[in-house]
Amino acid sequence: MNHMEIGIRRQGKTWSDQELLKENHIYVACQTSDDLPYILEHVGDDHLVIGTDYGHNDTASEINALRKLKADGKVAATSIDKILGDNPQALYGFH
Amino acid sequence: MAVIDADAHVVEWERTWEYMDESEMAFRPRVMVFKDAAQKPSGQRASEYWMIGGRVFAKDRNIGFDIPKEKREAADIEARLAHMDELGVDVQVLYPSLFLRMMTALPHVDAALCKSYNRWLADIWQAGKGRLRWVVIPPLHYMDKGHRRVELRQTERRLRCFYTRSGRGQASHRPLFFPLYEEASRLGMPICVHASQGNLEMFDIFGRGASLAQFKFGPINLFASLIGTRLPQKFPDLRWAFV
Repeated sequence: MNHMEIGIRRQGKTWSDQELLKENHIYVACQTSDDLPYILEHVGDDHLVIGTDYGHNDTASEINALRKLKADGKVAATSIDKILGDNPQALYGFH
Repeated sequence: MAVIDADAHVVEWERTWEYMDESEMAFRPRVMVFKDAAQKPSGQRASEYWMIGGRVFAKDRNIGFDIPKEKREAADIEARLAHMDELGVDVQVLYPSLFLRMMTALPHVDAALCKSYNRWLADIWQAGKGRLRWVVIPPLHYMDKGHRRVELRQTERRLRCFYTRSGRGQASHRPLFFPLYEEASRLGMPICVHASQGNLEMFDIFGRGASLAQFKFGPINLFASLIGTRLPQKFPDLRWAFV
């Protein structure tokens, strides 16, 4: 990100962490081992999704861990709901 | 609120390649085993291998053995749906496993593999009661509109997104791929990139033990390329996913 920011600023263009994903219509999968409060502070909660890697990994861990973060109050409930439901729905165009 | 698992997988098995047309059966991946297990190179954990377009790939690597075979291979759809209920997941978006990467540089073989994989997934979707969505794998060697439309006519009602892979001279931000992005924009489907999509050339350069270069650098580079080239601004209706 830092490398990209330097490149964009060199072109005389503006850079905003908060707007980066929104402006470029990009959704990114997060993991519960990421520092989610830090990520949410910088890029917001509208363009994050999560996956279990079902078939490759311990399937229950990611979604359960996210639910635990919600229950513990470490991440806002509204953000968790977006990551688990609203955002992937918008990304994949489910209606 | 529906819980959507944005990155789940199916594990390819022999059935995956049975959807090829008769004329393409010669390209069907074959399973290989060592006649004598003692001949296996040390450190090689795979017990079965795929032979695809003259290359060999480990068949049973990066597998979650905690999930029964029939569920991870989607051979028993009811069992997989019941497992999703246990996990509290309403919908899974299915990505490939072996086929995350471009497996051959031969365009006609790749096209046959894509066709068979996509037909297999369409069958899984049909049996999945709307809960098993999937990403279609377009034959990236053929970007001419006619060929692409033939495949899409068969599948467009069933799928929600394109999955893109990388290969020699095929960095996904290049104009070669613009027809695909135009089509995806028209259909309202996102372009999806998986964090573990491999690249044959990186395998050849680095060999074993360089998984970061082989799997992760490509998607990171594509992300930076999208931002740097302002490609999303050229396709304002297109959504991108890095999962």
